[in-house]
Amino acid sequence: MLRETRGKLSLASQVRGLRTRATPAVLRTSVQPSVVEQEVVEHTPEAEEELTKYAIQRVNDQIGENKHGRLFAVIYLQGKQHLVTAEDLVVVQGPFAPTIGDTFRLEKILAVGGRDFTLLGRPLLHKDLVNVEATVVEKSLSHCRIFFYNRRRKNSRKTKFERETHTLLRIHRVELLHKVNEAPDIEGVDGRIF
Amino acid sequence: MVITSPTLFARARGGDRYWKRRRILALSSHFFGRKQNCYSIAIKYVHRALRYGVRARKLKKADDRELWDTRINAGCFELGTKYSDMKAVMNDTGIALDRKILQNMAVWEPRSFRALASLTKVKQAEMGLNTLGSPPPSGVVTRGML
Repeated sequence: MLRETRGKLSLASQVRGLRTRATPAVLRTSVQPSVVEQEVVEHTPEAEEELTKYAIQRVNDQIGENKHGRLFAVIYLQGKQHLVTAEDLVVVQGPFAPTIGDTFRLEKILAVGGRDFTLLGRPLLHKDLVNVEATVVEKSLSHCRIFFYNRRRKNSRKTKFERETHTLLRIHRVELLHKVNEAPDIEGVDGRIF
Repeated sequence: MVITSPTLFARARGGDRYWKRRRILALSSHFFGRKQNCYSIAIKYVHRALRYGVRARKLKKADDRELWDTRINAGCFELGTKYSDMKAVMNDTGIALDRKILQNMAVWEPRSFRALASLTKVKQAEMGLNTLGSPPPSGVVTRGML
């Protein structure tokens, strides 16, 4: 409540008198322990191993009984990656040695998969795990690509025509050769001509 | 009167104006208006079209890459991760699938793509990243080997 003015004190000075005295910051000498919430992470290596074994067993059952169905493979060919299945056509651009009728095996496989599982290589899968066979079906030239450079009104014009070789491969097999974690002792030897 | 021998030292200069114009007009047959039939108008637009073709062949590669990035990112967001995180985890684990394959898998091999997304979430959780959102998916076992 404001004091009764005697006509000389301004409103501001009257209000100033109502303010409480500023108290210094109270330092808390003792910190109350707050409730600490901790997350208990359960480390269960046995359960993880069980799950791993179960998953690999399921995959191997499918491989053993050949029940995985159609498989796709990610192949690495001439610097490019292609996702292929059986009966696919792959176009290889540029010079490629194999001629029509040559059948060969594509060895650089980055991944293989089916309906129920995928095997990812880091970066490549083992050579003896997957068999991807391809046959050269056609060796032809691409369409004619025109490289036309023109500087208008400067009488400068250049025309170039280019057709690069295209090789068509037919992938006729993508299959798994052995079960997961059951690789042969010596790998990379079968079918090689030394 | 029968001419039995050609004129001495006669030259046959040019004479292929028709075929020169045919070559240009063949390329302009899908244009609109006089540009497709009148040579002196068509030649400008054919030259422009050919220049655009050269330029576009270079740009197509960047455009494709951008489209693939968009698709992969969209797939990742649907599954609760980001493409940048997936890239980092794939680099860490040594999986070398490129953009073309990843966008293909995002569309046509969704289970394989989901496996990669689950792997990114679990690996990031192991590193302590992106833990404020939902917990990592169960059923993914790395055993510290990946």
